[in-house]
Amino acid sequence: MKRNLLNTLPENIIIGTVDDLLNKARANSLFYMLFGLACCGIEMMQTGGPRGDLDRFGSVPRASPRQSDLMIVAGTVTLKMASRVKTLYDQMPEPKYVISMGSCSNSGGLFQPAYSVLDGVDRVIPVDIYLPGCPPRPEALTSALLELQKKIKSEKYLQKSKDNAYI
Amino acid sequence: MLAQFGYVFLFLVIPSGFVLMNLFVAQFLSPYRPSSDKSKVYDCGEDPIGSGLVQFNMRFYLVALVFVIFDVEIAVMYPVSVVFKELLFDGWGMMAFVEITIFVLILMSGLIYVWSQGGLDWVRDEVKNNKAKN
Amino acid sequence: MRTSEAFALLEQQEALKGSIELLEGEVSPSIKVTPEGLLATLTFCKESPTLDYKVLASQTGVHEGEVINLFYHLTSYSKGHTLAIECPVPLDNCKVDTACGLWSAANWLERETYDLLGVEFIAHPDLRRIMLPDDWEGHPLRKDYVAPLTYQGVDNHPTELTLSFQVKKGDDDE
Repeated sequence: MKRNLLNTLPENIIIGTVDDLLNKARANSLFYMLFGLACCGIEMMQTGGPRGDLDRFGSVPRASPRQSDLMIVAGTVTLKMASRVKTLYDQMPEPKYVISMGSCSNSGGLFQPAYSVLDGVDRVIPVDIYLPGCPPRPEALTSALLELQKKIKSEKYLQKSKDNAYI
Repeated sequence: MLAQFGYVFLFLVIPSGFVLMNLFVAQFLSPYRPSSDKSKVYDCGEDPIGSGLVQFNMRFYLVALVFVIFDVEIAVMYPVSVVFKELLFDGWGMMAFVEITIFVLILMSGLIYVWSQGGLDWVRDEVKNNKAKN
Repeated sequence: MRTSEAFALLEQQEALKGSIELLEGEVSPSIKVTPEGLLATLTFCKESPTLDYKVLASQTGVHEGEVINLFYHLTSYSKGHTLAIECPVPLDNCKVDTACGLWSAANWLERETYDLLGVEFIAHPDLRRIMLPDDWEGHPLRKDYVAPLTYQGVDNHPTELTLSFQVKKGDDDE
């Protein structure tokens, strides 16, 4: 019974409402994987902490990729680490999203000329939201999460869509 | 009286039905895209070396077994100690005391046996002596 | 004890004659040793009761032209003095004796020098890369090193924007 209904149902008001409900549920419970590689990891910790609370959006940190739907790549990705980032991204179950936090994971940042730095994590995994900053403040990471929530709420989950993201 | 059983039945059926319904609905609403990369054993991104299904040492089983036996013994001794005062008052004190002592002595002889046979040592004596020699 | 006094003591040793030289550096003086006399110098520095350099504080290197200059910084806590030793190793014969027999700290320090500069230490117990992955090619801290454009299938070409920021020769004149 492995056939599922994703992206197969017609677009009408009933399915659309169910879709809205499912998207709201998904967006408001994004469990993020703790993937702090460098200084941006400290800012991510602060955002998860009491002052810049991420738990109020339903996001709790998970250590394992198997239990998370969001991967916040916070910090410089080196060439040595690149294969591990890819493996961990592969081990996350769908539907999964990636926020690239900070200049180093957007594009290599200030360490672009270095021999061991990967110029941007989007060379190994697909990224949904790019968040600039060095490091971005907790408010900035919160706004990136809200932007991602907006993106999820606008997805077609059950209805037929041109992207066929989940079949 | 039969109605009481009805409540229990309902209490069993509704929660298990809810759980089963959720699992059933999830089959239709969740994406299923298995791949060989995804089903690799999670090892913090590194490639796992060897299989995870290794044969582990017997000592874990022995320790757990001994623990369970003596844990049950303690659990049985608690009610005796709680009602002992009442029994004393009713004149059954000596009988209760002798009975619980026999119980403890039986299990203690088992403990002495395990202890003398080296079942409680984490590292067996032969292995320790061999290491000391070399 | 100042470097010049330590140098005077070293000069008196028979085994070290001809291989050591006192350099008045821009910041502080150091002792320059040939690769052949390096082990004997270090052994004397460690075992002499007046010098007593029981601690190897750091071991690094710089690629300067045709030679790789190895730097050994020795410290003595009992006497309270330090010493800097330089050893220029030619690029075409990049081998020098290991100091692991004297200080066990030299083990990892020399592995790092091997990893980043390519200097081979003779009789080192475990000479292999320590920071870079084992399948890395090249020694990055040499001046003629070019960063890899791909590694393990990951494309690391710099973008046009990155290249436009790079400083070219002659930019400092502005």
